[in-house]
Amino acid sequence: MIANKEEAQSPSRESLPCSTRVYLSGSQYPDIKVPMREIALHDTHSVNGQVHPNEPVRVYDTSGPWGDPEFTGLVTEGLPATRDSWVHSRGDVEAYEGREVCPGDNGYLSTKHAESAAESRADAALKRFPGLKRKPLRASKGHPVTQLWYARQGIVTPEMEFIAIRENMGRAKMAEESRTLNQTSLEHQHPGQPWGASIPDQITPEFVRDEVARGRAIIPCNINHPELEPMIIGRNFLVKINANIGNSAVASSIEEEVEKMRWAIKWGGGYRHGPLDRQKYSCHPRMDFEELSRANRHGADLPGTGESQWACRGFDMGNFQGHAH
Amino acid sequence: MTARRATGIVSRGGSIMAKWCLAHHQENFLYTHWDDICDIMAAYDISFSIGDGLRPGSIADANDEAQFAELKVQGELTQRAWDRGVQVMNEGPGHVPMHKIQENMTKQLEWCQEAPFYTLGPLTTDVAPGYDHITSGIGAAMIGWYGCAMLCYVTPKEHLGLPNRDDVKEGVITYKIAAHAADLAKGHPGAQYRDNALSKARFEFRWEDQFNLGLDPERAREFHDETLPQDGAKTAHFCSMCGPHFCAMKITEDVREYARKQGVSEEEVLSQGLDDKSKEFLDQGSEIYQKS
Repeated sequence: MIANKEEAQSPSRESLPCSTRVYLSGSQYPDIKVPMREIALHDTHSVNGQVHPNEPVRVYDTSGPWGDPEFTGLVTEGLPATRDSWVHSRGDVEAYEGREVCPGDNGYLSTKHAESAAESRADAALKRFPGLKRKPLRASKGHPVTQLWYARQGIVTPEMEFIAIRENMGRAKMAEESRTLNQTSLEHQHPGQPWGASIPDQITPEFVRDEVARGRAIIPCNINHPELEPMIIGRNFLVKINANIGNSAVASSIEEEVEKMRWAIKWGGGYRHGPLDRQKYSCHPRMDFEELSRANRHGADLPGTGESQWACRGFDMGNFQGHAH
Repeated sequence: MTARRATGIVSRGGSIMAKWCLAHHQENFLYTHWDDICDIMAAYDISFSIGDGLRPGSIADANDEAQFAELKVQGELTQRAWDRGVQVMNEGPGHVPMHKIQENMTKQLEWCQEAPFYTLGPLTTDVAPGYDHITSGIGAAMIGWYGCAMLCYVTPKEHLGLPNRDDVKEGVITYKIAAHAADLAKGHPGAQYRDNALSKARFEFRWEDQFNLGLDPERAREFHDETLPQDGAKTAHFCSMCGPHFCAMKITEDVREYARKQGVSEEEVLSQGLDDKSKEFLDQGSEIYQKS
């Protein structure tokens, strides 16, 4: 999709009405900050003149750092590497020198191909961003560094507590109260038909760990994507969605691409980023906040800042090559 | 298995791999090197989303032999990835009529040992190009309820072209609806809270709150203001659909208020009111239309 270059202000960064960003912190990991959107409500004015206040409503927020009005970032600089310390504190990864960018990373057959493309079209020239701040990381202790592996060892990671807070949103209280209240209460809820799912009254960090350990849920979080806000995909958690946005191979700047992504996450999707017109890559990030990846023609030229995690499709060669580095 | 299909292989990755296999006369290298690939994934914590290159691309091909044969292979690959400590989810269809959707979920849960399922839609009919966010939103809501963990959105441009920003928003909101409807149906504690808060705002004519609690506050406001743009209308106890005298919610509110004043129950008020009206009606000669 083509964003309008003339737009001075990016509509994706305008907050939704009466909404503020709030953060909740963890108990096991006090430094984690789980984002939520809080919608302020007006008072109720009864016909008989009485006034009752209405509590604000908190909802799951997928819009990431860009959804926080306080956040001032540059797309060329990338996003804060929140998970960096989480990943390093586990003591099982090492940094290494990544290989040089090669033409194939950007969809070209050869250096010559890339050069002739750049000559024929001014806008096809790849921009290099000087802000590469990190070396790639990989496992160093001979064991997987996956959330699945930690979960099997009985370890509750910061990612797991983050997710527990994010998914929970006060549901324990509501589960208890909904059984005793009548329909006029805000906590009232119909019993569900979960078709055999094991949905608990409260999502605890331990429940997250257990679900991941048995393979019933996944936390997509490549160790090289420290900007991501952890989220979980599994049948006993809130249903997630993902959005694919296509950028044009003809013309699209980094700003335009990030703007499209912000637009999608503002309304509640994550996105998978792929040039749908060329059908080259098709990537599947989580539905949540995503920063622009090093996908496609920007190749590995983006600072190692912009990326969130990707899940790879086993059968899709393009994806695999694009994201297994 | 796909030769007799109405629409063959419709997955891009699937068709590329099929072509590769034919060109090289070899099994899919991703399949033959699966364990090596898993080891790479494990060293970075990259999750697999195992693709469904043979998903049905039309209602005619739904739940066919090729599709389910592939799902069985997905189950095998899932287990091998788990053995090497890698996180996995499975991709699913595609185009499936409503009555064949649950079978997809049941088989996936069984064959892939409850690994998260992630489906594209499914689209429940093929007859609505331009509206496939709706044809697929129906299928997405259903399979989400049955246990699908993630729904891949579809925009109005599906099958037709590159989505623009409005299409992206339309698709995202459609899928938020599907996902939330599924959460409600599954009975996630607290899922209904936002519905209740919005309904309360609606019932109390807190228009601004009704807009703001919605998934798309901008559209809600825009639609309302199309006919009643005045500021005063944001607190008015009616909208332009039924007008000021026939708003059901307003009438209910009046009944409740009357009951409070009289110290009787709503049921009594209603029956009393009906008796009064009935008497009035009879007194006036049972004419339905009165001269004013």
